[in-house]
Amino acid sequence: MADPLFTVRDVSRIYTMGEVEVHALRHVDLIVQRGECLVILGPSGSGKSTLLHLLGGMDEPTSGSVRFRDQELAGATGDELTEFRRKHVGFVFQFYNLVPSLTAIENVEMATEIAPHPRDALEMIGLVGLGERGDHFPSQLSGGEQQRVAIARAVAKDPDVLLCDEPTGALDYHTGKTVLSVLETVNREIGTTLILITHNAAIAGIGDRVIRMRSGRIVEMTENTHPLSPEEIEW
Amino acid sequence: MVRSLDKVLLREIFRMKGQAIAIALIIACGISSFVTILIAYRGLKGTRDAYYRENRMADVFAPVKKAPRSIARDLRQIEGVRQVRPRIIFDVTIDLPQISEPCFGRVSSLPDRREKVINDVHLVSGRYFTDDGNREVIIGDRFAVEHGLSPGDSVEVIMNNRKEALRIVGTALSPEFVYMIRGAGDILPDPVHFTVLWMSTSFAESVFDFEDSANEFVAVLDPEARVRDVLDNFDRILDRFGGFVAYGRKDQLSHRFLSDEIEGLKGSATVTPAIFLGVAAFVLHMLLGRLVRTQRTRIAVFRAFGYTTRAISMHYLKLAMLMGLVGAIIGSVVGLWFARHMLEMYTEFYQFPILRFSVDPLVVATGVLVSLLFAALGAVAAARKAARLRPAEGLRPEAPGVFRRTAVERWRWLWTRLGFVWRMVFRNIVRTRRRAALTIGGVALSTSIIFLSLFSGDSMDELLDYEARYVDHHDLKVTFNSERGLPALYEICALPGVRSAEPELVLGVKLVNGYRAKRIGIFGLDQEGVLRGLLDKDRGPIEKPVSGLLLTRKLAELLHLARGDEVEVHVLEGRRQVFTATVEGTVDEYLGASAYASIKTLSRWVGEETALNSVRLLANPERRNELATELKNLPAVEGVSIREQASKVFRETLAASMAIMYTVLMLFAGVIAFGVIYNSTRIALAERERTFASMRVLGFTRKEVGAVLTNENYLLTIIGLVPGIGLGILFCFWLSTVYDTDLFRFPMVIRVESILISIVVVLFFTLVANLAIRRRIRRLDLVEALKSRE
Ligand SMILES: Nc1ncnc2c1ncn2[C@@H]1O[C@H](COP(=O)(O)OP(=O)(O)OP(=O)(O)O)[C@@H](O)[C@H]1O
Ligand SMILES: [Mg+2]
Repeated sequence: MADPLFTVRDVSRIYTMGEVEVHALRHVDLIVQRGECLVILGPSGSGKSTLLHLLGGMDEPTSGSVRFRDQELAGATGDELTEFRRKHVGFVFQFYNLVPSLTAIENVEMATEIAPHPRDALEMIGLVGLGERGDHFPSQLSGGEQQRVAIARAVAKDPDVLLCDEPTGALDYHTGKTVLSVLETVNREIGTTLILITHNAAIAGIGDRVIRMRSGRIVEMTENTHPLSPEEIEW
Repeated sequence: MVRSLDKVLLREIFRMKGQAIAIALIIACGISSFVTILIAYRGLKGTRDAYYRENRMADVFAPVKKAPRSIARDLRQIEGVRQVRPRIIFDVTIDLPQISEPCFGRVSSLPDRREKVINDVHLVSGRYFTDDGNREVIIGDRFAVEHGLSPGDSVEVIMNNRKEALRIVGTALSPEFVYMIRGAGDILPDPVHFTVLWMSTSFAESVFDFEDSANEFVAVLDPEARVRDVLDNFDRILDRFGGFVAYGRKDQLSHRFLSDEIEGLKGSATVTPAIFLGVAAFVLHMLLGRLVRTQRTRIAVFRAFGYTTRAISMHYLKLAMLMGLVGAIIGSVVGLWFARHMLEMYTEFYQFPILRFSVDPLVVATGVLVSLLFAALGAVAAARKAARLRPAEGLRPEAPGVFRRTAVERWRWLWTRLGFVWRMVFRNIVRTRRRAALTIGGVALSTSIIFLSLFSGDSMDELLDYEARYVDHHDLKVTFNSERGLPALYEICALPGVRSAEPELVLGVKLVNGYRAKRIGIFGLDQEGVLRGLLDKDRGPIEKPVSGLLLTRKLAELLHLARGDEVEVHVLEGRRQVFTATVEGTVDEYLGASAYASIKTLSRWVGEETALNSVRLLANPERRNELATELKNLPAVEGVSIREQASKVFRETLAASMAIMYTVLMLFAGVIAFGVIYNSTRIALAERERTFASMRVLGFTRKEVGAVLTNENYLLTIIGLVPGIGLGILFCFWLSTVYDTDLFRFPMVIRVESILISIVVVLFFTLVANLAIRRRIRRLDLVEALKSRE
């Protein structure tokens, strides 16, 4: 455990809306190890997404430090953050956010065009089990299929970390499981660090570590000595 | 209940303020042109009518060689004639010591004592003649101002071959000379070198040996009189006094120019605003259509709360009307301001005692009403869609955008080489065809407006160029006050600095072909002469006429004459004989309507061997001014014109008046291009916010993301430029057909430079719109955009 990817120190994020201040994160400390699968659990509004956005360079903390390896993300410029996301981060959202005017394969290629060491787009489409559907537009794919394309797109850049915000939230049980096993494959086989937000305590079983959040704080951290595979979990 | 909808309304307007302003500005362009043109039209027409009424502008002008004043009594007996005034008119030269080029005066007699006469003057300074009236003169106010002359000063005038010093008693304006133009063939007034000199009748009679005589009768008619018949009767009575054929007010030069302008204004009062308001309605239609689409949920919720469909439709109508109202207010204010300036500009060209500028509430109210109407028109479809939306339907999320492969993709070779940005661009254009078409249309319109505004300058340049290069090759032109023989030519040839000289004889004639007749000047040219060029429509030189006539194309058209036809020529001078001549062909010219013959033929018609009344000459450049001074001191010389100077004045005057038009048209073009592009891009941005946000999250830079929209705009702009230039050329053709009068024609020229300038200017507008869009993309909130479905 000597290879931290992210080091979060005393991070707070306060949204100010007029008179009202919302403390989305309060003095959070966290270390994310390279290659691990970290699951974040917590009720709605507890600050999960906020934390993920800070890690992914989409947002900046009000105070504290977020380091990616040796790079300080707090206080970085917009261009530096863009560069950071481009090189190191893959995002997967609850709503798949594919580009509707591009086909599945083109959506993946879009990512490979900007990454320094991209993976082969066709191979990625194959990895998520959509080898036959590459020429289809998002509107011609089901939700689960779209989410798998989104994962292929995120992974194709060969990022250091895959950040997933409720990737199964909009999917049914079976499709959800398929998507989870794709993510697990990426984590286990390619070795990409995986950080996964979920409402669903059952899913937490697949993580190496699980953190629970409440009111902007990490209230509990557990290590799974035997993480389950997606096939083994039930909800 | 409606209150909370209104609150929503204001918030919405504020949220899309950029787009709302762009639409309001397009509307403002339409309304401002409407208000400007109508106010200027009413101002100019109202002023003219009042001026004519107060100073009793004549309905009929009947010039003669010389007739007793008492004939006026016979003329008054003609049915429909209310009042007749005999007067004396002579062209003279004015010698001003401070300038080298000669100035011309038109002597016009007025009663010795002030009465309410036809074609009365409007005194600006000084007073009317004294009881004596001897050697007293009232001069044109503008001329006085230009040369620093005022009552009490004196001017030297060469009249009837004698130089006399006259005392200025007053300065004045006249309804006959609102447009201070000397004769047919001129297009611009020249108040610096030309003025009217009003003298008392008794003084004029003695100067010109016109005891109890007159050489022009002016008359005012009953409103219901038949002008045609009155003119015939005038001709019948005046024929034996050397009548030059009476003409009505509509053929009076100043009146014609003024009326053409007024009619032109009236004509453009509807077309221009309609174009702008039409574009605004289209853009509104797009914007509100998009708004209803994104607000389906909200509409459904409001409906579920019990808002009536009417209240919801009204909501969108009000949104549009608010933009229409703002546009109308801006447009009216700007329009009134423009109208004021336009009227001021008119005072450069038209001389009125006062030019009435009045804020006509009717015009403004009409403008506001029309803009509200167009705004409502743009909102109708959206309002209906909103009203038709069933609550349950609105609560379901909208289906994701369905994209298809585009035609471009069939060219695999090209397609595989396009990056995904261009692929997105192509597929989006195909998907949102109507919006793309609107952008292309806006760009095309903008391009054509710019091209048209450049064309008017090009055309003027071309005209001047044409005159200088092909028509007038002389340096100086000398006009005598009466016909002379060859010795006059030799005398001029002998002057120092003269390199060559050619005689010319200009006769006033009436050409008659059946019932069609036209009073024109006919030019007798030297067979071997080279200082006056004649060209066909392909600009090939035409041989000088031998025994027959050459007519300008427009004149041939008006008289329905073609090569080989015979035409009656009524000479209006000398023994006033009638000849028959053959039309040898037509010549192409842009100014005036005239005919050409050999100087021999014309001389024979006036019963001489060789007669001439003007001379064109080439002079040593360094002695030109000296020569001009010498020439104007020759007693028989009526006028000397220096070609270079004349065209310089012409160019400057035109450039000044066109500068404003340029600016306004460019501004309009810019508003259209910017407004249309900015609006449709903003709609596209709103529709695809999530896409752009997810691209940003993937690590695309702002510039790369922006390229998806800006490249689309550049592509659409380039596509729009092609029909734009085509449309522009059509507009120019239209303009040159509309202005194909016998006074003046627009040469049709298409300059590559102007096409290039139009393209560059439109690309610049697109660039500005793109910069504004870039700003929006920079502010795109990633987290917010991706948070949830709408
Ligand atoms: N842009 C914002 N402006 C103001 N407050 C915000 C903003 N984004 C988030 N918040 C607030 O910060 C807090 C944490 O939000 P966050 O999105 O991180 O919660 P979450 O744990 O992801 O919840 P969920 O499970 O519902 O997605 C919430 O109280 C939320 O209202
Ligand atoms: Mg969340």
